[in-house]
Parts: sequence; C-alpha cells; structure tokens
Amino acid sequence: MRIEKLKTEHRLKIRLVHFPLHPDTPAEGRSLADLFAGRNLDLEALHAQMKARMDAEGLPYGERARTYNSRLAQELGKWADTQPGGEAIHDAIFRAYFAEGRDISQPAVLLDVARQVGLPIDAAREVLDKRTFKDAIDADWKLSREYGVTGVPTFVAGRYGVVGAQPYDELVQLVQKAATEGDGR
Amino acid sequence: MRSARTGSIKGLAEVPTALGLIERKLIVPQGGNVSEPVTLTVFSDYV
Repeated sequence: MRIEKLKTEHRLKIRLVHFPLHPDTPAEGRSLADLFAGRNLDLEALHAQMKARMDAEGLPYGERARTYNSRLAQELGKWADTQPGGEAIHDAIFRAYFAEGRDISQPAVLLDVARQVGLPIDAAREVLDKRTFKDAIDADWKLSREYGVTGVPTFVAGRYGVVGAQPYDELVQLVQKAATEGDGR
Repeated sequence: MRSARTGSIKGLAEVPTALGLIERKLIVPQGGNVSEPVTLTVFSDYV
C-alpha cells in the first residue's frame, strides 16, 4: 500500500485518526442505493471505478450493497493500536467490509476479525462491551472537525493536506513539503 | 485532490490545521544523530 511504501522510503510517522464518514447510519445499516439517493450517481460505474483502483493496488474489493455503522469498529481499532501488532486490524476490518461485505457494526463480526489478527479476544470483548475507547474516538471526531475534514482518506502533513486516493508521488510531495518547511513534526 | 469517497475535492492546498495538534516525537537513530520524522496524519473510516 502507498502508506506502507511511504513509511519505508521516507522518515515518517503515521498517525491514524478515525473520522465519522456516515455516523448516522442506523444499527441495521443502510443500503448504498439509499445512502446515495438523490445524487444522480451510477452505483455500478462507481463500483467498477473503485474495483479497478483497488485491483491496481492489489487490494481485494467485492460487491457491497449496504453500509454499516463503523463506530464500534473505530473504538476497537483504536484499542488495537495499543496492542502489540494490533495495527493489523485496520486492514482486516477494511477487508471484512470492502471485500467480504460483512456487517462491521456487529460485535461478533468485530471479535472474529480481532481473532483473525491474533488480538486477545477477552480484552477485545471488554472494549466493545464497556466502550472503553469511546472517549478516544470522540477525541478523534473532534480533531477531524477542528481540521475541517469532510472526506476520507484525508492526509495531513504540517500545514498541508490532500483528500482522496492519491498517486504515490503526490503523497511524497506532501510529506516533502512539510519536511522542507520544518512544520510537519 | 481527487476521488474522496465523499466530501470536498480540493487540490494540494493548505487545510486548517492547528500547529501543535500534531504530536512531535524525537527519534534517535543508530549513530546518535537526533532527527525528527515528519508526521503524516491520516483521517479515515472503515466504511
């Protein structure tokens, strides 16, 4: 992935901030047709476009009909970052949703994903049951508002930012600009 | 900027970042030189 390559080739510290893309998604999820209603979008064309992009990156991408509330997934992901090797959960959650179409709002699904990446299940269950990372995600959402973020992914280095899937060279440019000005640390 | 899944589409541009919000960390590589890496903050969601 681009970020991993960036991290390897440049002196870079990556910080993931969880952003609420569709925070009002109900517990049962929402169909993509409903989500994009009124925007005059061709969902099949959008899917094909995304599929081509993911294929080019060697990433799995399947058919999706629904979106789900990601709040609990974010809380679990935030906790996972505190665990050894826990960052693997991010790709695993993306894969569960984008490739397998699983309902990542469901604790059982999230626990299964946590198990797949070797995280301690009892601790993961406690995070979901007791919402122990609720405040941490609230803080991420607050930070997103302060930065004026409106879409994902958004990349910020120093005083500069770019939104959307970016060519690798543009991310390099962003990082180098911040490094040159000495304000990206 | 292009192809955000939703939200605004902008070019490489300044965004309203608050300096100091991005955490600063010192790294001491082998050899003893002290340098600071750039922090790339990635705002993302799983859906």
